[in-house]
Amino acid sequence: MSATEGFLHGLQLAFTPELLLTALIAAFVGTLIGVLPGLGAVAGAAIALPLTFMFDPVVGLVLIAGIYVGAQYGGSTGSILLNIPGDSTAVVATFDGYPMAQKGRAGPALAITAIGAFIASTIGLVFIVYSSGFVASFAITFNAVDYFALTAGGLLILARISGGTLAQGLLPMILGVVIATVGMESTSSYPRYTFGNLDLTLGIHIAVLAVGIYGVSEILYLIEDKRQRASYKKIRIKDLVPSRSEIRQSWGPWGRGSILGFILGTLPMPSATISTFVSYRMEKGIARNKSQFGKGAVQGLAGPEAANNSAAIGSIVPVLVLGLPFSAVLALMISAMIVHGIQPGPLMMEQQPDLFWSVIGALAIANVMLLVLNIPMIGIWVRILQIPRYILIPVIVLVASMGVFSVSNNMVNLYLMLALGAVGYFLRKYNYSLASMLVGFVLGPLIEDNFVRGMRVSQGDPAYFLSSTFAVVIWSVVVLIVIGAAVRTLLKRRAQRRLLDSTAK
Amino acid sequence: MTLEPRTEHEAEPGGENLETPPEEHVEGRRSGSVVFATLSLVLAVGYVWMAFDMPNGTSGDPGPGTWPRVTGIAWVGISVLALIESLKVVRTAPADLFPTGKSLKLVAFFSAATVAYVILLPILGAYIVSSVYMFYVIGLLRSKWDIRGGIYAVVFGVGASLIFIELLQVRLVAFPW
Repeated sequence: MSATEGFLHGLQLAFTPELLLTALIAAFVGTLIGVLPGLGAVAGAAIALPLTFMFDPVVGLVLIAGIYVGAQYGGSTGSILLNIPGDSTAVVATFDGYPMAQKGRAGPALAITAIGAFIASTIGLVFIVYSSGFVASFAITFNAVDYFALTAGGLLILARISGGTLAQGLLPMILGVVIATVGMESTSSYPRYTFGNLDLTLGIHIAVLAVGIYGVSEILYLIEDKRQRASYKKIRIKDLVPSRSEIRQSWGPWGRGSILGFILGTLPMPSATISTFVSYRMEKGIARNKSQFGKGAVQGLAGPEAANNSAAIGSIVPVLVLGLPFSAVLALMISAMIVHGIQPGPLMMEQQPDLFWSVIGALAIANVMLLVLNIPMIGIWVRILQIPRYILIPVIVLVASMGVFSVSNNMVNLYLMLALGAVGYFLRKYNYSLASMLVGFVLGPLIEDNFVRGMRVSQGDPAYFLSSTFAVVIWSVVVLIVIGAAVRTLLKRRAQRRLLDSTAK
Repeated sequence: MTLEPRTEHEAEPGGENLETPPEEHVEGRRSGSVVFATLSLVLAVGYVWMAFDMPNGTSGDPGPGTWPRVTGIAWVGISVLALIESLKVVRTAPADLFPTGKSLKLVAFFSAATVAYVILLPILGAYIVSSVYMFYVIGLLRSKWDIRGGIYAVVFGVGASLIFIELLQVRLVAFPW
């Protein structure tokens, strides 16, 4: 089956009432999560995760993927109208989106982000369709050495890039990896760190960890948030139409942002957020009207929004084709696959083409639905920004708690969720990266599996892990990023101290 | 009405903020970070200790204890690094790192109510506990407990329980009887 045939087949498969409804619900819930200030895509997807286990695999996957993409769409609404980003990916949208709203161009700003997101996601999907086969055929030759380098190295790079200092990235990463060792070891069935508790022999479920560290800590942050309810101006559909000049200024940034976002999306890093900052700098760098940036420049809004959405699509490639998630939401997607007995990886396209292509097809449909939901329903999204927190917070707690209980109908899950919530809250307070903890938790067992396989094949020779060119390249990049960045920070700090000393003298 | 954007405590990804914050904030944050890193170190040592009680296998055929030993030792090393960083690195400390005053009271009462909710859920059942929890938290966040809050509590508490227990067939305790 060629890529085009596969995609058309996926569209055909996705055109069932069940998947269409799923795509619509996912698009709606995702946008809702993105619009609500404070509740980010990860917390939202974590709370929705236990519910996905109750449905067919493809329904569950489309739900998670749709929520992920939808949250990127919705995140910028609060940024533009109220200067409140719904998520870290929407921070850059405040730079020029809010000034546009202050100048009375809120409607066009919202339309530029919605159309840009649609274009970027479409371009991203085209890239996925035509690159997946190539990446899969390359990945099929990977052995334990390559996979160990890709998973362990990728995790180290992610941890280094996500966190502030070296320890702020590495500590949550290793916590995620060690939490994953709780439960029965897969080959020998030896119980590790269960303390004689039978409920722990199956290990800690990702939904429990994700809802705990993201969901509970997010709720505590919402409670601490002292902001008052925001006021807004009504926006009518006719107010959404951008001027010709605004559209003309958007085409270039949309295109550049889409390509940049997709490339960054495939790399092991918090690409959706990083791509918005990189795109903003790029647009500012090439713009003729640099002085307008920060005052309502259309390019400063269009480029980053396209990059963010394209990165979200691009980051699905390593998940579907390599079975490797490099962001927190995609870690949830992988776990949803594993719970449903699906082994993501290069063989998925070959062995389960219907599942692979129907996910791609449903994403394309969800993308159209997002455009349809975002433009005409803008008035509703704006109203949703006003849902009182006193209702939102306890409702989230009820849904999260019952959802976590439903994972294995076990109260231990709820006790763990609370304990992990406290851990997540303190980790966030001290600037530790929660994403690397969640990704560490998902990749930990994969890394262990490839480590054990490698040791068996090599009869215990650790040098075997550097026996392939691919692995050597990956480890060189890891050394460069992890150690290189630490050395750079040390030099920077020393220079700063010298400067402070000379100023004091 | 103009609203301030949410205070972002996180440094830009990959970056590091080395500005010098007010001294009292640095001290508060530093002592918290030291406690956090020390706790992590103690737990890591305990984890490694337990890993050495597990079968290790051989280097050509690793046992279930091998990986926990590797990760445990890494955890100890990273905790030491975190401890050194928390003693040496001066980071920007936001003035409102932890809640104080009314905000602290809200967080404490909310947390206590949520713990009580989880403990009472299997005893009193989802319908009653969810409604009571909703009523209390709505009142706590609005600073008043009235009929409006009660209506919201019953609608959302009973509604959520109904969806999970009846529609999604989750085996939660419905009622105490």
